[in-house]
Amino acid sequence: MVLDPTRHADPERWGLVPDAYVRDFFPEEDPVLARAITAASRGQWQPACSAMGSTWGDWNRRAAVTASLAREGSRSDEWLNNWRDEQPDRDLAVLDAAAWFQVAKAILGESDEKEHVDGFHRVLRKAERAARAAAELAPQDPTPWWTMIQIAGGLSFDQARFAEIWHELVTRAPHHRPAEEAAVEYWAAQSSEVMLDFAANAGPALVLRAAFLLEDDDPIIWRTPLVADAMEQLLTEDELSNDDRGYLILALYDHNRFTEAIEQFRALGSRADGAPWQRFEDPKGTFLEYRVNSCRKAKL
Amino acid sequence: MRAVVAVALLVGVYVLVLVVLAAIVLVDVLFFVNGRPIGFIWFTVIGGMLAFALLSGLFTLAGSSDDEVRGELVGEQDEPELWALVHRLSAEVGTRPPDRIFIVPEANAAVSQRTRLLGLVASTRRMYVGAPLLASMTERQLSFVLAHELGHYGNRDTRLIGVVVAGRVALIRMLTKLNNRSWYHVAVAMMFVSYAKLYFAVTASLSRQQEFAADATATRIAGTEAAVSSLQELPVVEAAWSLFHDKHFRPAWEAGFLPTTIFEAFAGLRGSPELRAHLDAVRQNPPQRQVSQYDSHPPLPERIAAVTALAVPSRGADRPAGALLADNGAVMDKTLVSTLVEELGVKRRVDWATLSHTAVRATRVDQSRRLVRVGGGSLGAVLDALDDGKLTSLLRTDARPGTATSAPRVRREFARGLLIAELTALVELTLADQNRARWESDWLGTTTFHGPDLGTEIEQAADDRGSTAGLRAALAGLSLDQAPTR
Repeated sequence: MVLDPTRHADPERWGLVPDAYVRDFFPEEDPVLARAITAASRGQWQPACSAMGSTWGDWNRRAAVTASLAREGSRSDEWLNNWRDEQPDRDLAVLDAAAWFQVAKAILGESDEKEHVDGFHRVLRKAERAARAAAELAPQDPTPWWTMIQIAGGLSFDQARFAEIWHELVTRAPHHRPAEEAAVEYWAAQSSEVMLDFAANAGPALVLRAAFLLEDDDPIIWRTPLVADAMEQLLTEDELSNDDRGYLILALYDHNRFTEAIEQFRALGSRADGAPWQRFEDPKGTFLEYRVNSCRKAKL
Repeated sequence: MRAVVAVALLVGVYVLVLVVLAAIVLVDVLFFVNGRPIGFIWFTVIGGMLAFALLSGLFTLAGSSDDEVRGELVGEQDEPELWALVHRLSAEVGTRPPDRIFIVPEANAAVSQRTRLLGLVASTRRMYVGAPLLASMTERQLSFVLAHELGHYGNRDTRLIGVVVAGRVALIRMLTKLNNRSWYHVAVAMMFVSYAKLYFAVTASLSRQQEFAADATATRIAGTEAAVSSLQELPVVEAAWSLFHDKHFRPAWEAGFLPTTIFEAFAGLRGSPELRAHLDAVRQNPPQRQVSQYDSHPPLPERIAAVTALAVPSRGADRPAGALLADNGAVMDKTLVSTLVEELGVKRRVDWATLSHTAVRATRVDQSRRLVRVGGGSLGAVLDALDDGKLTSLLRTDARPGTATSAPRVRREFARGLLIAELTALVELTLADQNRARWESDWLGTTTFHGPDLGTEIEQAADDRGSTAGLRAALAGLSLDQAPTR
């Protein structure tokens, strides 16, 4: 069928991995963490404790492990309570704060009903207290301050208060990517101008994240010079993280540069586990939808 | 010329209906004559229903308009000054004065008259004056509003336009009446709708002209300054009134209370500092009103520009419109009270300070009712249940977080937040009922609790590993075994 508009749509024709191999969960990548999560779901805290312990000093990784374990902690807190009873330490404190933050986020979801908003705020205030306690137990650790930056967005802290928190973070970790991303979200709720300034200072990858947060209010944001330049700059870089590639795909897609988007998909392979996919309700489905649409619209 | 076309269209409604009726009869007769009894019976039924709908539409159209009696009827001996003003305005507009004046609890004014045969025949003329306008405007501003309404009936050179506008009203009435009934009414309504649209298209600019003409007439009487300011103030009075009525008066009423003062309190609301910013915002940026798709009022800025251009100087001194009323405006309160009291029986009369306390108390009773029920009937029983580790049995099971999560901790934590709100209400009630605290709310509806802040103690009591000790200590000496009722 020469006229079939879907004839290019098969990703395999473009040398991409088949749909069936795409996943949004890769437990085998970090077997220690995967085991810790499974154990936590059964009420055991020790594997989580050693997984957290091994991250000390590698702050970006510590944030990622904290986030994964905190998600489990927002499902059930039996293991956290056991941990607290047997060996209350700084790793528990850091996780406790992050888990409260996850609970708050899950209470709100996308709702704007008063009950949900009130519950969100109440639990965020608990998270704030927990993060302060963690920061006292682990004075060199930026992780509680990263949690605090996320909380600042939810509780709409004023800018002076946010500046204090941000200062605490950067003195401990000058280049804390997860915190930079959280800060972009804080600024998104304050002022889109300051947010874009902040992102531009933090680098092109952050500019694309900022554009993603703004696109609902400002549909032409991807075409602005600032965002387009950031996209070009990222394309020239040799090493990109999977998250950066994900946002780069959204930018290229909006610029109708589908062939280049497909190149990024090729580099991502089967990995639909990063940003921005995991921000959607169905990460893998969103990934596949962008992929098949890029293939369909690209010129052979 | 347009007016003539419009009147012709109006008469055309009758012609159209008669033609359709004739067609129905003709088809039916043809069925009969050609010996098709089944078709004849079917068509008699269907045609009969359609004819019924057509005729009922027509009778709505030809019948009298529904200016139902509402508000307080005031006679000349009751309110001589108001009547004198209305007589003077009618004379200046050049129309006959209304036969009756009603004071109504709404932030607007209107003149209506019973009409027959599409407004071609007029009888009783009624004027409705909103009590909120009397309470908020100056005499000259009110004069502008009333003269505008009278002006719709007063432009002698445009006698036909009056008929045209009455026709619009009649057609809208007919469409609303036909629309919410059975299928054959809907079928007939669809036919009339296209006809009405044509009529509205022909008359839209006429109606706008008429609004401008009424504004001009009223401005010549009241002066440009009063015209501009009353056009600007109308949305403000409306916003203040709906806030007063919907957020303060009606909730109190529904809770079983009747405030001792109404319009005095409304004046207090209008002047209160917490509302200034809100009302200023309305004044700067009046809400775009979407009254009806058939509404023909020109936009406010255009009307203000038009009356400004007239530049009519004001004459004499001005004073609050309320001064027109006898007996310090007692009739205004009656507009809300007399009809309602008859309908709903006895109400407790209280002043506003008591009222705001009592109204908040009622909401707290409502908020804590479920907890009292599942917790054993009183705050003391709820605290005992918490001490016994029965927190779970107190949590709401029907509450769903904002995400469709099945995570037990998220659901429990969400339910705990709801429980804390209920427990807080119950604790506040316990304190207030034993004179340790009270509530106060301002005109914006913000409630302040004047009493000890027990947030931390309540949070502690509802914690999985918490304790009620702190809360019990804070409530020491109070009776905890009362079940609060409204």
